[in-house]
Amino acid sequence: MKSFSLTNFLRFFGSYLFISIPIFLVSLVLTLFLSWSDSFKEVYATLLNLDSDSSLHIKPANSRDGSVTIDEPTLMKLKEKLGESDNIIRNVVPRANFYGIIKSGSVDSTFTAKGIDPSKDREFITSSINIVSGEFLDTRKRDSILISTELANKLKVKSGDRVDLYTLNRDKNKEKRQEINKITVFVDGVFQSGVERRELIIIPLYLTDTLLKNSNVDEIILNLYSSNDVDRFKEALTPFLEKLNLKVESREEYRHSESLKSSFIIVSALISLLLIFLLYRTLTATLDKRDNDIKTLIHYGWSSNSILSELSKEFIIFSIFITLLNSVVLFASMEIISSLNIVPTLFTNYPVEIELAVNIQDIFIVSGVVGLATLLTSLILVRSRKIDLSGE
Amino acid sequence: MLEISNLKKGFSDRNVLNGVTFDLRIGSRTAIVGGVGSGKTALLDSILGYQKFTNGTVLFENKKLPYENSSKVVELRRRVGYLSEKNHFLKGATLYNHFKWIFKLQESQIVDLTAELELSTNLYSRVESLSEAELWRFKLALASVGAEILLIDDPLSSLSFNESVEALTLLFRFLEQRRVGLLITTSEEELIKGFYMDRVYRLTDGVLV
Repeated sequence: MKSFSLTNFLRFFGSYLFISIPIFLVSLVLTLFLSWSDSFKEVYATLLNLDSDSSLHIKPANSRDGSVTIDEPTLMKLKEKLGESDNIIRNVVPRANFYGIIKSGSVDSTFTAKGIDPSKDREFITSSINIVSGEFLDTRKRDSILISTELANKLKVKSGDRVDLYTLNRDKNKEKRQEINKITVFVDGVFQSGVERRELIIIPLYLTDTLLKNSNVDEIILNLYSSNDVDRFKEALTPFLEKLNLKVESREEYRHSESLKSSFIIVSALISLLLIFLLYRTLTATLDKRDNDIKTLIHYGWSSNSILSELSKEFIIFSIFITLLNSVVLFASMEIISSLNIVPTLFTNYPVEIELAVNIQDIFIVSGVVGLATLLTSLILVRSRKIDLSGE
Repeated sequence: MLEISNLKKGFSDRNVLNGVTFDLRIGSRTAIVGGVGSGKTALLDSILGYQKFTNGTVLFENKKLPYENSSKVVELRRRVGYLSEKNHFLKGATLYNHFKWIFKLQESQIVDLTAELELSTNLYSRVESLSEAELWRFKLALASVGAEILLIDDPLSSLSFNESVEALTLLFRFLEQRRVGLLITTSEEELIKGFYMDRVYRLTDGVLV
């Protein structure tokens, strides 16, 4: 009686698949739902990126409504100060956001513009958006923009076409916003952001100077070399920033922002409960399947130790299998999303200005953790399961 | 090989076994006749440790069997085959795989064993597809692997009288070539009349007479 489980592999494989298929279908639906729902994307993306983020965001102290910006003299003082810490800071990335009207022929639409520095922002932006036609911003051109597919479809324009941009001032009252400038630009590329109905333009930072008639920016992102430096550097910088009427935030603070706090708790609790439930159901169902086998083996003279040893081997094999299958299912679902032309990376632009990207690697890590948890729980359950020697 | 002395077992309202004493030797043939509810199954279950008894001893190879010692019980069950009323199968597995997985028998051993018990045509069938008579023969085949003594609980509980006679005919032919002790219980004395038995007991009021 050397090995029961290994020769019994295919039989158990069949029963396992029978149990696991509905569970993996639920996973698949959840993954798809996660990819379509903006709220889930925001929370999920934030959850996955909080720990690894190594950036700090410097903003005007009272910039909640976006009406206050960082002016050029302040920016210069800040850059000078930050120059003292170039061993900690990988790069300094100013960002300017504003609203305007985009016009092509007789069709027009309002838009949200994001002024970026193509040379420094490229890595972040390319990981967060998917260029579906044309190219990314060329740093040598001074009259190129990227527009979202939603906006391109609305205006019936494609990459290479000309459009007119009208900038609006930053009046708190939307009704009172006035046109302050107009410029004609080329559409360099059309992108998908993963956020539906987002009429978004990505514009080179130097073009915003022209459009806004000033060099003011909304925020400055400091990308540090190490996430370990975030808290220490933030603390060191705060007194200086306060004098300039600026504030600094790390991603950790978004977790505590009122708009996210409740959704974090609810969504995290729901996902955790769901995972625990699925794990529990999988394990109890597979163990129940084995109950009859265990009784049969006891009846024909197997000792409880040899049964436990064989079942442990069996669960190790299938826990590894769970991890692999989970990874395959998640990878396949991401491929399906891609083939449906829905961007697998997630890009959000919310009032709290969370801009995060989730890549497939993160999902593999989550999958691996779930698989490992399954493996450990399986072993604990099998080991702690009391096998009554009566076997009847 | 097995000596049962003064075995007593009671349920809430009555004692079903009131001091049962007998022994089983390798190669011997013993029958116990008793009506429904007389305690036949309780007796066999108690001997193999599936049910607890309140008093008495079971000697296994002249040593008192300590039922709290699981390794001793496991050894007992390996050497004493039990064909009970209950079914102990691996759901969905073929007959062949039962022998292969549970007992690690070689293919030739499996073929010979199933041929002797007229199961050759069912060898690669799932256990769920067997008739009652085939199922009984299959249970016999499983119980006989490595057994020095066979305990068979009332065949009439699952088979008709004629099927039981056919099954016992096959059983006795099967045992002719083997030095295996047999204890069979039945509710119908008629059933065993045509077969040679060393001893036939009647289980009445919890005792063997």
